Amino acid sequence: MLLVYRFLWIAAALGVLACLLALSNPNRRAPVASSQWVSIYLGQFALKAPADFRAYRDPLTQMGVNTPNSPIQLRDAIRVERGVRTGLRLLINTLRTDLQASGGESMFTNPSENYLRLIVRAHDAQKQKIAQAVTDFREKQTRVMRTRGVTALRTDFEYTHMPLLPLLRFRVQGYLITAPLGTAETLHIVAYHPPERAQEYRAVFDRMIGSLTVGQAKAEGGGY
Amino acid sequence: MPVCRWCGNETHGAQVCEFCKRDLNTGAVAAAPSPAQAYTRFLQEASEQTEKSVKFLYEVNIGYTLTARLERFFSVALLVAMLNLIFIVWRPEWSLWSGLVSFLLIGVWLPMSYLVDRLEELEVYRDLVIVLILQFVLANPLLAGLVYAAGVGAYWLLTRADLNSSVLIVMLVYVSFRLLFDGGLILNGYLDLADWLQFAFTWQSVAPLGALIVGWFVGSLFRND
Repeated sequence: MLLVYRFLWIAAALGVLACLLALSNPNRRAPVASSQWVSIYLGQFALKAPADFRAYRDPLTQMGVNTPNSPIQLRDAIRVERGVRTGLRLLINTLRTDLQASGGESMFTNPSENYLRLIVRAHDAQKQKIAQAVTDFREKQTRVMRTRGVTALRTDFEYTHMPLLPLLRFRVQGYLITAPLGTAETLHIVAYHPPERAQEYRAVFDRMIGSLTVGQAKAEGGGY
Repeated sequence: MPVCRWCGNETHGAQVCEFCKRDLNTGAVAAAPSPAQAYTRFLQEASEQTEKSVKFLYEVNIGYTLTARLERFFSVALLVAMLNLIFIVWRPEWSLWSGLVSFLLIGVWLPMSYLVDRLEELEVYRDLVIVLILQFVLANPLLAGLVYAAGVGAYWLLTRADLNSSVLIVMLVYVSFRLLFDGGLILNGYLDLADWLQFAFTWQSVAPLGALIVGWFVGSLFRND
């Protein structure tokens, strides 16, 4: 009987090795997201996401974003993520009316004309918060873009994620999109993913953002 | 069983009928054994019986060397692991569930292969609660295993008490197979190494250890000592 056991474990060990070789084949990588997509309704947000992405409201985010002298105040935030390096954060910020803008000018003297300045201010404030929250933040590029018929700002960035063992460091790529939401609010979309699978994840995030709606009514003339 | 052609009964004896005491071939009445002969035969049978019992206990408790126990264990455990890895190649998104089934089966085979004792002592249950809490709090199986081993080592150094090593062996098996399965998922690109090294209080991190313990319990019920 011992010979049977010996034959079995040797054969199974060879099988395990063969499986590990098959799994390490770079041409046969698992898809970054499930092919099954589900609808998510959380807070002010509604979107579609792959089934293996987890959506939740992060209480730490809710508490941490509102810093004393920040010109923006968080109204709602959710995370839709697959892991610590992969996910999407959606935030709605309101510009604070109790703070005076630089130069003594109020932010809301003329909201329609002050449109781009509002976006820039909110975008910079949000970018600063991300930079403070992560390690080794590097801004790569900021540009004006059009999304759903409205002007928005987009910043591509990189940072380092340091997990349990401080010896290991993981690079993370991401981008921040700030779009107007009405006249006094802004929508921030923060997407992040491992740099080695950027293209695959960006396609997933584009689809998720494409399905995103905020609140019940859609803004007239485009937007979220 | 032969039938005695003299009395018609089925008899266990090969030469003499146990009922009519006749020789099955010749029909001659066999002489009754003397008391001395009967006593000698009784002693002989008792000795044979004792030898059989001793041999059985010897096989179970001493005869299975560590190598033999390991070979018994890995013959089934590696087979289950291989099937799980094949499943991971095929459907990585179901790896959590296939992993749970694999750990359950490996747990059942643990006591059946005599690699660990049956799950019946109170102190073993206590240690299992400790490792479950460690796994939940630390999230990482390797870290939980190392912390538990260090704790047991420190306790032994302080007290020099006889320790039950079953939970240590179970943790070694658990950590090894978790490394194998999670390593497969990382190689496949389905699991991010950064996630594996992250603190996360989720039931998914504890469930495989729970399945292994449930398997150990079930296997203990079926092991016949």
